[in-house]
Amino acid sequence: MSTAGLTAATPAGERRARPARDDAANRFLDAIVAGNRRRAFEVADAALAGGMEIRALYLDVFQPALREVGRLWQQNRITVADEHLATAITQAAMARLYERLFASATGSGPLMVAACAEGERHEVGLRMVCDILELEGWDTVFLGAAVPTADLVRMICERQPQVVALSASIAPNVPRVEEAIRAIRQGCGGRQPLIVVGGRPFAADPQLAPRLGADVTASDAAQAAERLKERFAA
Amino acid sequence: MSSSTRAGIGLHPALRAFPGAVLELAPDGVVLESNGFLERALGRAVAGQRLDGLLDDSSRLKLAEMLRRPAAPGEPPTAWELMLEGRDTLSPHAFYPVRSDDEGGDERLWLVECPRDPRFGAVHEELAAVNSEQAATQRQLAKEKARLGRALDELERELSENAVLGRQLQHQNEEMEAQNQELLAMTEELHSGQEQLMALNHQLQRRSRELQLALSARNRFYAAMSHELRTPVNAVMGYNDLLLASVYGPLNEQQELAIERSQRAAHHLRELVNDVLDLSRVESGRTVLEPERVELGALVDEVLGSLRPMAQAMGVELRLGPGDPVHIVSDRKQVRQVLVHLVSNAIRFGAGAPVFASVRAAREGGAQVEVVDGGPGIPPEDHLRIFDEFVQLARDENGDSTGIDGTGLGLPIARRLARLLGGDIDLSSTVGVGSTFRLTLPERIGVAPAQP
Repeated sequence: MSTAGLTAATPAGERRARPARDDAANRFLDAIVAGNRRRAFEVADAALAGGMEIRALYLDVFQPALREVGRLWQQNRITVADEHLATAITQAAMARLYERLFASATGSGPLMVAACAEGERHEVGLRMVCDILELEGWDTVFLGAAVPTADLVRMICERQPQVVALSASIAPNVPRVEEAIRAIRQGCGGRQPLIVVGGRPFAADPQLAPRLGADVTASDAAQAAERLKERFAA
Repeated sequence: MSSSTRAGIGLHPALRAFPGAVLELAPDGVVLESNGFLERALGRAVAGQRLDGLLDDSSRLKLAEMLRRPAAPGEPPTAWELMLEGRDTLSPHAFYPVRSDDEGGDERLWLVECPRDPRFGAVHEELAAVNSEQAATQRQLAKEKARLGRALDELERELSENAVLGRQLQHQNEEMEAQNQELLAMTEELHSGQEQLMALNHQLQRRSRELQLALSARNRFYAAMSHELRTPVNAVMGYNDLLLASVYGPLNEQQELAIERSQRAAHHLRELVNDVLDLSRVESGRTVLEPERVELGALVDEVLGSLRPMAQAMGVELRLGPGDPVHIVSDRKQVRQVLVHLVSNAIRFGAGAPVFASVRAAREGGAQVEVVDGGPGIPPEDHLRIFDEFVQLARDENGDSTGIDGTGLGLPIARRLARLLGGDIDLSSTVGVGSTFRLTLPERIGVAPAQP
């Protein structure tokens, strides 16, 4: 299956400045859409061998490639099965980096517990936020997809994180996020964590996050990491 | 828009029983007809509503694209996956689009759902869940592994630090061991020194016992000898007296002179024997003290009186200084003997100058008796020796002619007696001016026998 080039939408100047990254992103996209796990890993390995950092690999290769997969599915050019496979391959590629990622992470910074809302299956975006913060020295616990609210609150009471991150990728899951926020606020009493929410519905409506009682929102992994770092810079 | 344009062509009866959704859409996306499948899935009515109102954002875009841009002729139909917002939202519904133009030119879009095996859908969901869980677990495991790795590094670092510490400790231990050895050696030296000391001590004790034996033997010898000597001396003196009394006929002048000399010599010899007897009695510890109340002034006066004939014979004046009566409890006989020795000593060695005696109460209790002579004085280096037995300082050879005579035992006996009485005698003297012997006596002596 042929795919649209990722560079098509970017201005010419920026393209010249980041040819290696765009090239890697394109080749990674081709590999995951074709369901070729081995080639996808090779692309990631080659990028790292060429001096690319893990953070750049996440933000400039994995994230745009997955966005493009979503767009291709929207355009009806790939099926949901193709999309799932592409996502699974990307997750596996991320998992292969963990040894390096956690070895360079100190985990001495703030603690963040991250979870997808009940019923929410789209977890890669939140996972990227966790991994990037981990690179910044944070300690993160990623609970994965579709976390039952009661379990999440129990976990937060136990670990007492400074930050709780919640995500919803589609509008119907937003009420689950709202429920989770309410349960956390009630369950935590005096030690309220900072609550950050993310996902497509929050990017589409900037007023949604404050309406639900969240403290921070962001439109992508890089912005989320940046805003949380700002909050805890002092 | 007329109601006829809102009406669908109508579903073929066969499609009503189709196991998936079948929808007929107007070009603006309004649902004209539905086989009822979607109503059941979403739990609400669909007909007469725009389909994009049921879709999520991305599916809405997808539908708009499809309605705007018909498939090119000859292009194989592609299934659409539309995410429906309703009770069932997560699994997309795949539709085949079918276009038709009726006679009026109205375009109709038929959406026919590709029916799926519900079992396949369930497995798919299951796999997705497993995949998600696996990914989260993998991440947590990798994180734990990294954490453990760091802990292990820390542990290794500590271990190597411990090894360094261990070496330092061992070094210190060795040093302490060496010090310990030194201490042990020193202890052994001390022990052997102690043993030598103990051996010496034993020797000393043995010597001491031997000396005591020798001393008591000497004292016994003195006592025995004195008794044995006194008898013949008394006999000599007796016969001398008889001769001088002309019991055996008159003596001529020369004979009388010779007998007088013999008598003086015999007298001296008896004095010597008496002193030696006294000394040995004091030394042997056989003296038993008999305490009684004594007025010292009177006692001194009495002693001076008894010695006055001897003093007058030598042209020496005896004087008692003024003073209040001083009472002590002591052994009168022994105190008297001490005073006799001191005063007669002063008479003998006072070079004819007057001898002064005085009594006063001592400041710290008890009494002091001072006997002052105007003799040649005693140089400081002889102050201790003067109390040794048989010492007479500057004893000259013409002892006979001056009548200065003594046994050399007077002061030693006096001091021993004074100490026996709990007191002492000391001496201050200036050469060429005279000497002062000071007897101090305690206020009271006990009845316990005193040590020699």
